[in-house]
Amino acid sequence: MFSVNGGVETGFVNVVSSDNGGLSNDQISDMATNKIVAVSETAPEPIRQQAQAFSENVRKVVHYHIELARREERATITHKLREAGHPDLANAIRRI
Amino acid sequence: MAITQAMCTSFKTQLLTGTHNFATNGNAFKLALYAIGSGGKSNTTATLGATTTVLVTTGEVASSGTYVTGGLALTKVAPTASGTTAITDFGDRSFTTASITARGALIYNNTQSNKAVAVLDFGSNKTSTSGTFTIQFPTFDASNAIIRIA
Repeated sequence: MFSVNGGVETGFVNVVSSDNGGLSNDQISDMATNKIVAVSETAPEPIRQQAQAFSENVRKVVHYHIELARREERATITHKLREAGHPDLANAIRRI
Repeated sequence: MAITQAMCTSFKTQLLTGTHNFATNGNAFKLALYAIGSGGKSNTTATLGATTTVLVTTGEVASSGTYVTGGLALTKVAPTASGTTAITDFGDRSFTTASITARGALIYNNTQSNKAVAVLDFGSNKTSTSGTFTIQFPTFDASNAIIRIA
């Protein structure tokens, strides 16, 4: 007799939202960290703690580079707007 | 009147009849957002769960920003095995400049007459006001992936 055990299951999504603009650096950092570091609920406690510590470090690195990328992108946009003769708009973007 | 997280029963049957193809060059899958209470189109309330068989319009969230009623396409990740569990995934989906209140979502197969795949329950109403509404899919592994066959 054959017996096949198993199941078809669905995972849980994470919803992240913002008001009056896009997601913040913190929200994006959390999303990236969630994708990079995952630890099983059933993992031994020392492994869970190690993963948690690693996760914190990853989050800091990701957060720094997201902030940097956004700043550099704004600098490029500001430069392009100035070149195109829109200094007021360039200043508005620079002050974000 | 509720949205209950579930893999649709009809989808399980259709897996055995080869209806759905999650390969990157396979079927087109979409995700539609739903509300309970006042978030839906014309204030309709969604009822979704394991018995859902196809895309439904009751309680669907109205178009706003880059979100369009009927849902938007998902980017597939090729199915693979993790240990003894087969898994597949989708790329995260964001709707920008959107004012949305949603309590859940339905993943459905647009290629196969909008047949339902899975109902996602957000746990509570999630809201964006003139902002970004992002759905992040879980870690692509045997314990968490969005679709798992153990």
